[in-house]
Amino acid sequence: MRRRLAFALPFLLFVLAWGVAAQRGTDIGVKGFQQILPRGTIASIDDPEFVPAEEANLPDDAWVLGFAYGGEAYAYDLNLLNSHEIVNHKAGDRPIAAVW
Amino acid sequence: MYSREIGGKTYTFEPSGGLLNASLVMQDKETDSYWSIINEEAIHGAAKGQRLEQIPGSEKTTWGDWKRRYPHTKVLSVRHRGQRFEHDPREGYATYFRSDETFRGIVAKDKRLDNKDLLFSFHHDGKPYAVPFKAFDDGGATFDLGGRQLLLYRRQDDSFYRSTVAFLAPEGATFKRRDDGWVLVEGDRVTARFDPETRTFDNPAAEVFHGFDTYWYIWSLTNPKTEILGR
Repeated sequence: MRRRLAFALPFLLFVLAWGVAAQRGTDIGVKGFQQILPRGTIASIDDPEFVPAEEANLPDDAWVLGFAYGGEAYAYDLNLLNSHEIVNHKAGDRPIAAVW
Repeated sequence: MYSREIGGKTYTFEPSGGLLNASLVMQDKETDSYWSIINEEAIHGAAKGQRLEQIPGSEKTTWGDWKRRYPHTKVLSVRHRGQRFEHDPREGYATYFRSDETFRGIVAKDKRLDNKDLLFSFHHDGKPYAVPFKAFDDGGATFDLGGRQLLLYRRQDDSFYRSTVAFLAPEGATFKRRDDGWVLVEGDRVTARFDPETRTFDNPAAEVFHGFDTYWYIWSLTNPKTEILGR
C-alpha cells in the first residue's frame, strides 16, 4: 500500500503541475499566452504591391483599413487582412506594419 | 498602424500563432521576439520591453467612403508573389462578432461589464481605461481625463467594424455639442468644428487620440485594474 502511494504521489504531482503549466501557457512563460497554431501558419504579407483605386476589385460596401500618411493614402481590404493579419511595407520612407 | 522602426532597428512582423488573452501576438523575423498588440510592447525575447509605436492616420471604414475622401488612394493588391487573392464577401469572423461567444471559452474575471461588451480602451499616464460604446454611440460624448476633455464619437447605426474617433481638448478648452454638431471652444471662441462626414476636426487643436476598439473580456484580462468611464 505504501509503495503504491509512493508511486502515485509523484505521478499526481506531475499531472497537477502539467495542468497548471498548460493553463498558464508554457511556451514563453507569459500568463495568458496560448499557442494556438504553429508560427507561420498565417503568413504575413511582406513588400506588397499596391494598385490605384480604379484597379481595385472591391465593392463599395467592403470594409477597409485606411491609412493617410504624408500626403499618401493606403487601403487594405479587411478580408485580406483577416487571412494575413499583418502587412509589412513602407509608407514613403517609413517602414510600417498594418495590423488587424 | 505601427512603426517598424523601434529602438534603432527595423523589424518585420508576422503572426506568432499565439494569442495573449485572445488578442494578437506577433513575432518579428529578426530576433523572434513576441510582441503583444494589446500591451503595445514586446513581451518575450531579445526585444522584451520595447514599445510599439502607433502611427496616427488609420481608420476602418467602407471602401466607398475611403475612395471618395482619398481618390488618389493606393489599394493593397490581390496579386502577391504569384498568388492571387480575391475579395471574399463572407466575413470570416461574422459568427464571433455577432454572438456572445468568446474565443475558446475565455471569459472576463472582472464582471463589471459583459464579456462581449464593445468598448474604446486605452492607456493614459500608465493607467488603463475603458469606455463602453453605449456611453457615447448616440453621436458622441465627452469624458474627463485628468482634467482634460476627451471626446469619443460613434453613431448607433455604425457597423462594429468602424473605428471610434477620439479627440483630446487642449487644457482649459471644452467640446460642446451644438445643434449643428460638435465644436471646440477655447475661451469664448469656437476654434474647431467637427465634420460628421469625415469624422475629423478642421483644426488640429482638437488632438487626435489613440485607443482600441475591443471586447471587455480581452481588455480586462490584460488590464485588470481598468477604470471604466461613462457608467
